[in-house]
Amino acid sequence: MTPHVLGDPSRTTSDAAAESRIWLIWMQADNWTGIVRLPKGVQRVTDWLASRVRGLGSWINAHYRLRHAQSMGRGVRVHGRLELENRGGYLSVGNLVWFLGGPLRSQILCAPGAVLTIGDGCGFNYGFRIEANQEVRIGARCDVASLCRIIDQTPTRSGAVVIEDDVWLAHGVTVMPGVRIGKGSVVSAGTVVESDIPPGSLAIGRPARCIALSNLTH
Amino acid sequence: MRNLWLLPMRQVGRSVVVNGPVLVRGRGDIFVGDRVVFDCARFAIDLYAFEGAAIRIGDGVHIGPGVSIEATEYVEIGHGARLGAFVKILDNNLHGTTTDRNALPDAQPVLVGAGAKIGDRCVLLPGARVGADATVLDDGVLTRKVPAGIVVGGLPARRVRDPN
Repeated sequence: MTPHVLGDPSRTTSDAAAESRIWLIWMQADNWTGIVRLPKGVQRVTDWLASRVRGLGSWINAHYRLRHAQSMGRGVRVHGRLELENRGGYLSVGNLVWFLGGPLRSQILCAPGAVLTIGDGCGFNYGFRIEANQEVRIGARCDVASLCRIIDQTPTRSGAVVIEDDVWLAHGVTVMPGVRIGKGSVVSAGTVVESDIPPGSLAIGRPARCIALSNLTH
Repeated sequence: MRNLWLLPMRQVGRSVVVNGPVLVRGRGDIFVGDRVVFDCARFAIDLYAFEGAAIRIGDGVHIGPGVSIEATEYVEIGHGARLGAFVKILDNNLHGTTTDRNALPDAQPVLVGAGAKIGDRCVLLPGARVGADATVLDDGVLTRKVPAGIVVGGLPARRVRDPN
């Protein structure tokens, strides 16, 4: 497998800028139909056509963006920019995983010998960053919101990160190395997770404190 | 229309400065006042108004790079407010916490008062109301009401008596 390097020296900044501009225009395309005010019935048809085009586009994009993944399930969709840097690790993406685009690009790094598995039906919003140096496991049906960081090695600590099924990481969550997040837990916006989170809990704070979800009234 | 990025917005005031891409997504209405600065040369700004939602940006607002505003009902930025880099404003959690994860919960409008300063990387969650001239320090996460003129910060955001 040829390693795909993020900081490719042959790729100039103007190339990157041009590419990102094309993606931004593509992403805005859902609104071009909104500018031209059409009758409801016609609008419904153009919406349907646009959704089919974007569906096919995201499928093609997924196969291009995740071309260095070792295993990829069915129905994976990638909207917008996702940068995968696989330096010789093992990346497996499950069925029906979707990656949304947005103002910032998402990044997945996989070091030599690292294992990164993404379970079935996970959803990722824009701008997240996953760094797998040893092992990162993300269970089924997890939601990872925008600007999340999942890291399994820092200068001071290292260890496998395990995110179990049905976990929801809200906007801007940082998951530190060696952490296990239990099944069905919710990690609230901006939280830094430095220790294990038991199943079915809500984590808030820097560092995170846990509350059982069953104790919440709303 | 001077700038193509502003084309999908419902209403745009005078002397609006745009130095990069502004992603206007969704079918909702976006109203922008006079002298608004979209500072998005480095990172795009994302304004996502769902169908039937409105985002109202007042006069003289400065919006930093990488800011994302998502409205399912109503988000208002008052006159002269400043949003730092990578601020995220949501008026809906978009997922149920204790209820069905995939169902859309009820929206709670987010209001940012006139002259308020929102620091870099802040998150304003549903129900956040920042009073006039209040300051939210960098990395703050806000879900409640902030009285006018005070300084808050942290997660969850609390009053900071001595910001230095």
